[in-house]
Amino acid sequence: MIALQASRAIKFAFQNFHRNLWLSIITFFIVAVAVFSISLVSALNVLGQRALQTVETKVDVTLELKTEVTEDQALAFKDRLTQSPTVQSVVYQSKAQAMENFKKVHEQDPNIQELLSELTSNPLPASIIIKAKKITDFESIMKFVDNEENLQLIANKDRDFQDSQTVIQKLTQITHRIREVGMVTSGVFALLSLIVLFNTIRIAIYTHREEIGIMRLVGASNGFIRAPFILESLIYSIIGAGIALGVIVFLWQSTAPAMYNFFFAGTNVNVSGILKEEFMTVIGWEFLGSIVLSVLSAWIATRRYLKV
Amino acid sequence: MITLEKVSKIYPHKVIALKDVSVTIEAGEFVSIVGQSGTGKTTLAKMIIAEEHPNEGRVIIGDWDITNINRKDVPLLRRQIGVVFQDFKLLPQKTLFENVAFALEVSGVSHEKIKQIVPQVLKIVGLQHKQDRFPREVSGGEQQRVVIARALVHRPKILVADEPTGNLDAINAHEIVELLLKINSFGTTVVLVTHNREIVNSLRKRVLTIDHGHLISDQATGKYRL
Ligand SMILES: Nc1ncnc2c1ncn2[C@@H]1O[C@H](COP(=O)(O)OP(=O)(O)OP(=O)(O)O)[C@@H](O)[C@H]1O
Ligand SMILES: [Mg+2]
Repeated sequence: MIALQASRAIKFAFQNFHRNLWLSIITFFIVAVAVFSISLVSALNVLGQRALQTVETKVDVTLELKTEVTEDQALAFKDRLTQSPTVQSVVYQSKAQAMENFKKVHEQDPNIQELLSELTSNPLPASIIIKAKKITDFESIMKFVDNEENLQLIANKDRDFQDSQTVIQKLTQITHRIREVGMVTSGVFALLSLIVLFNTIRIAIYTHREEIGIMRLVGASNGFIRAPFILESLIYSIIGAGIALGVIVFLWQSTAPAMYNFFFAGTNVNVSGILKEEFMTVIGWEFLGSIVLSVLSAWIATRRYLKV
Repeated sequence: MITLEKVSKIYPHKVIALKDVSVTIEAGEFVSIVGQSGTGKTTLAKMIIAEEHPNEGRVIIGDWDITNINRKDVPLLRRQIGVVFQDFKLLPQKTLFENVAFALEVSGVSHEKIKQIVPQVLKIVGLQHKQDRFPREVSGGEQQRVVIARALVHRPKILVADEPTGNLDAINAHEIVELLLKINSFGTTVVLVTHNREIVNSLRKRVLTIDHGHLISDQATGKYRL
């Protein structure tokens, strides 16, 4: 009985599209455009966020230690740094390790290899490489580094985090901007599609007033009278959002190389990977959200115009 | 079967449609309700199917007090009362068969049952042979007979017909009345609201006369007064 009722409700729902074909097409279109623009904004947001993270994790500060600094002193210094809550990681690189890295980097260069083989002692300094939890923490970390006890150990400071800091501030501003604009446009589009859906259902109810009247007189239950309209709205959102999200996924995949060059050039970030790991969840929520909203608006429309 | 106890209905703007109407209709009766336009006949019919609710008094169908019937119970009531109302004609895009079947479909009756019941009721109204035509392809009288067939699909104990002969000529009107009498002879209680003097006079059945919301006469084998 329930299956029978459901199949009939679905049948009536599909008849509704047919009856107001142009209105149906426009409704699909509006829902799709709304979901598409919301997705576009959240895609930019996800990418911007990831770009920011990538830049942040790339930034570090290298402190070259004086030659006379012993390994014990260096390790003690490292421990002191590690204790700071703002420090993400500290790596100590001994002179030997520095040489090894250098050799590895220039493996293919016979001139350098020859030069290296002629060396009697290791000219490379030991160093300490610091990564901060947040780029803004470097300021305080550098203050700590600059105290007298520490300063004695250090030969040279690579302070290029300051350049990075301005880059990151810009990026942060942009992502915040995207989020603000995105929130407003998403809100507007969500509202717009809600209104359009509501109106479409209202018109569908109006178009079917005779059937509805007959249904009432012959004893169709309120739920049965209402179901096709809720279903109709549901179909709009499923198909509309489905199309929009499909297009977004397609666009994402087909522009992945371009996005890589734009946001992540020179890193090992996998743009398609972000789609799978992060953006698919966003899409899932959007899909769910549009379904919930469409049912809600049909619910209100039927409540209001069917007086159920 | 149908009991109205001191029923009053006041519409918005203080329109008094019914005032203190008390009447009992027994099972199997054929009752005509007559009266001038705007005196509350349709309102009375709507009370019986819980389309309107009284401001005062009680409405009882069988032993079911429907005065303050729960919304979700209304469909149950409607499946026990056949209704012919002027406002609800046939759906033009459905065949006669589909129009009758529609009433069963929407109340959850199985496909097999529909195929069984629809020809039966179409046979009662004598239109089985035209079941695949569309409403525009049959006469007004035939359309009205299909509306009556549709009201019969749930095998109701009561049939309420509001002006079923409204737009029909004398011959077609007479046919509809014959049909209602036939349905009544099967044991269905029939409540007929009508303007048609000849019909009421020829019926020789019980007549209730309403005037300005008051039940002014109740005759066992009545004539159209006024
Ligand atoms: N929904 C409503 N709201 C307000 N007034 C109404 C409503 N329905 C009916 N009325 C009024 O109540 C009175 C009785 O109406 P009703 O339809 O019962 O009359 P009737 O006897 O069926 O008339 P007719 O013979 O013309 O069909 C009329 O004055 C009508 O205008
Ligand atoms: Mg009337």
